[in-house]
Amino acid sequence: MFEVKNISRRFGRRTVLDGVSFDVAPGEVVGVLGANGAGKTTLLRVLSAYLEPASGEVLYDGVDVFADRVAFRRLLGYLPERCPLYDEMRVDAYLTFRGLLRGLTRHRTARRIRDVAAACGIQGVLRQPIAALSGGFRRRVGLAEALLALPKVLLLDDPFAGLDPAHGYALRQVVAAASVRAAVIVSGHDVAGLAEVCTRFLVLRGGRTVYARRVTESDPAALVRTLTRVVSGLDPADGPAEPGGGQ
Amino acid sequence: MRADGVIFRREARAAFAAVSSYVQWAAFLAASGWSLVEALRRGEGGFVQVPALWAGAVAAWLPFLGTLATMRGFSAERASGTIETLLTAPVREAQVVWGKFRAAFLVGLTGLVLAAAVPAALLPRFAPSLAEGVSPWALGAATAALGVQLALWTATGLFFSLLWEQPAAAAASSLFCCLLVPRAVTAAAAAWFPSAPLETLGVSAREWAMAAADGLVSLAPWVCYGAAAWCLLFVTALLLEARQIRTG
Repeated sequence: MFEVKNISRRFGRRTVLDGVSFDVAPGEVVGVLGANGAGKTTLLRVLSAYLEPASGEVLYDGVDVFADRVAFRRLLGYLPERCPLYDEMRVDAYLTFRGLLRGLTRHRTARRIRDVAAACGIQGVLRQPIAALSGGFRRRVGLAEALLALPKVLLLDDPFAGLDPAHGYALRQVVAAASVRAAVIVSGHDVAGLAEVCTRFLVLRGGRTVYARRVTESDPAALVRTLTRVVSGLDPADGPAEPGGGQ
Repeated sequence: MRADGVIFRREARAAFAAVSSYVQWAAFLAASGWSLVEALRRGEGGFVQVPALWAGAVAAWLPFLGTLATMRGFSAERASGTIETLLTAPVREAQVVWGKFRAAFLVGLTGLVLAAAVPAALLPRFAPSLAEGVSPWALGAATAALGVQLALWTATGLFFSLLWEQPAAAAASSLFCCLLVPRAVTAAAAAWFPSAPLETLGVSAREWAMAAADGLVSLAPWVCYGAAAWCLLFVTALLLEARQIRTG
């Protein structure tokens, strides 16, 4: 169980996260929505133990992830917002580098690269330099890297941005498949796309949780309408609907 | 394989595949070679041995080599955002610093070894009379002293590459620190504490390398340079953990 308890984070005098709490179990996909500057990226950076919170706790199986960040990161798959990659490397060399860095053996890394390349549809570009890839393929390589070591916690920051509908759909299926064994938290702006895979939604505004609910609607269109209104600030019923983030 | 070894291999491969590394080595060889020729001209008829002149010529340009080898070390990672993926991998900050340092040091060391080939290989062929004074031991001692100096310049460059997102700013800061700060400290110490042990504090990198080539081995500079390099790497690892670096 991945638990986030009342975390806050400031940059200078600006509060970017303010008392955010929720938890995610393996098999769940939590969608984090919000307008630009709502705190989505900072939240994922804190959850990945890249940034420390000013207050609050991030726990995995009851253990503070900041107590042993290296141990936690062995369980983590993370795709940052800008999908940064080493442009001068070939895709296969990059994935091998990341696999070895994650402590996989060379043999296991090669096997996992075959698996994630097939899942993410990048077999055709494995021997290409990363600099030659389109934005969509860069995202797929980033997602492949995040899935490489079979993570228990998968954090994806706007993973479907810039993808055409077909590739977006394919990658959402990859994320859904990964959620079988991992707690998945995925942020983004594409409400309709996220609604296909997410089992729960969290909406941030000004660093605070204004909406946290499980997906119960049988009508996906109604869910998208509701979420769009909340993200846009048009929903009059603001505030976390379910204490503890929709448990 | 250990994480720092993985980072070292990636960094070293990237450096040896980059045209800029070859340009750096060529520029370093040209500059140190020119300095050696000038030193030989000035020292004609004197008592200074060729290895000492070579050590002095190379030492003057070594901070530039260390700076160029490290200027993109962390600054490029910060600018491109790859530092975020690097620091969310299961590695310790110290392993990242150590891996990058070793790769940059290898790049600098390659330049240094190439520069050592000038007196070792070219002088016997093109200036046999000068080559008679070139002892392999003297050359080895000078190269070892220069290697320790290079470690400090590399650690300095890596430190500044973490502070700046722009490689040029990192390089300028590093060079300023390498070239001016030691002289300023020595001058200030000499002015304020005339009884200070300036034989340790005031020995310039160039003088030390020349002394090593002449067989004058003193432990203090080795310890000073080695400890300073180690301390800078330690501070760089601590800084890498600091939150300010991670907010870009």
